[in-house]
Amino acid sequence: MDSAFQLANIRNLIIVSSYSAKKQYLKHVYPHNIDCIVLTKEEAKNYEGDFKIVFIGCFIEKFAKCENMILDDILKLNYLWSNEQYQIKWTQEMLASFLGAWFAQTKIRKMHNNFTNYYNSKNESWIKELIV
Amino acid sequence: MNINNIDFFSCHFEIENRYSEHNALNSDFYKERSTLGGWTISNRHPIQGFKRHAMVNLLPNKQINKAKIQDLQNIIEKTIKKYATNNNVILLSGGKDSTTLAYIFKKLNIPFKAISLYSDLSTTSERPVVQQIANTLDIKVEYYKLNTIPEYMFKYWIENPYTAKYMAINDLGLEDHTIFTGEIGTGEMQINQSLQYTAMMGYQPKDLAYWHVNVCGNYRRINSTKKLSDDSVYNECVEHFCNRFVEWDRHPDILNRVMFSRLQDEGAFRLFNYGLDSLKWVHPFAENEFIHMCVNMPSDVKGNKNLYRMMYPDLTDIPWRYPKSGLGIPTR
Repeated sequence: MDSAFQLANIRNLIIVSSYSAKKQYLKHVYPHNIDCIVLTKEEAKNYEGDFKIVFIGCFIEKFAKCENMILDDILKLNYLWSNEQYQIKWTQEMLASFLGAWFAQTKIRKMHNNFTNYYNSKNESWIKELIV
Repeated sequence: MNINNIDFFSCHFEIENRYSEHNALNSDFYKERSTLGGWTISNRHPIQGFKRHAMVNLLPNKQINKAKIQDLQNIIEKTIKKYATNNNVILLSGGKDSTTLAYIFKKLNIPFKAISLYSDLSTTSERPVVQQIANTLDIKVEYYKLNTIPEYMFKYWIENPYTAKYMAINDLGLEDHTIFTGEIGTGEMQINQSLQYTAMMGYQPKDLAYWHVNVCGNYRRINSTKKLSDDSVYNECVEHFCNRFVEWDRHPDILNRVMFSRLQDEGAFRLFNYGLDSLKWVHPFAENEFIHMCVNMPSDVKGNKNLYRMMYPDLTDIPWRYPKSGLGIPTR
């Protein structure tokens, strides 16, 4: 399906370290958020442009100026702390949602807006206190 | 009312008769409407005992047409000239479709009033983008502020942008004008995710059928191809889109199937409410000849290719530089 690659407007990349990692990402996480392209670091070398990039288990210096996030430490929160209150118990769906929200921030930045009004209509919460 | 030829998107709900008040509400209609985020695809009606009749003509051809970009340009200009009067309105959203429409009107020297809606309460605003477009096209835009949309107007399908436009046209005293919209333009249908999925996973119509239901039902926020519910109405909706892909099997260009399998259903939803009022609405991009030619052209001229800029190389690229944020006006 190379022609689909040609037609898609690719803005969001997931870059993983190996072919087997790519296979696992496509199996476990990708079906929950398909608004991205998944590449191995070898495949990514052929790409040029301004992307939003999530690195997992690798980093490619040539993309350092693109907006990027290395996911490794964030995933590690799944099990790192002895105190459960500081853990984030990731599910595949949660991870897909988190990445989807991160990819979607371009709109807020370009339009110079925020979500203050959304939280105005919500009940009192510490999140509202942070944002409004 | 819709005054141009939009047969590929036409549908109607049966009119309730005098016994209607004795009939019960059809709860499955409302469940389905909720499942798809404001619209439906089955023949269900809000009142038990009545039906919706969907469009009969199908968009996909058995062959790919050999149309050229010039042919598209000729058809869209012919359509605009056919329906334009001395009193025209274009509703400028800041998106690709309405911007292209305004550009064509300017090119053809047809006078029009440009109206743009905005809300103080919206989380995002396209007003600065619209103003840049207005400056570039050298047109004057009248901005109409609307902070809430009354929910009681949604008898069948919930379509906030239509209701907002209707209120604006009436408040501004433009009821006697011919109103042009960019509805069902080539930038309309959300095709990028389905193309990316196909690039990664090959042609997977069943998965994309789940995605269609999930992405519509969650107001574009959940891009999942997984089954997200065991509800029978949810399953029916998935089955419907599977059947759409089967209908598209006759069309040889697989990527056209990927891009346009939801077009007729969602297009019917987008245009439906315009048909209920007495205003004169024209949707040139949904015109039979234009949409049929466009959909059945080889896929490689679509996707991320900028069809409008191929038609009009001088067209501003402003709407392509900004992400579309939508109207964002809350309902009351």
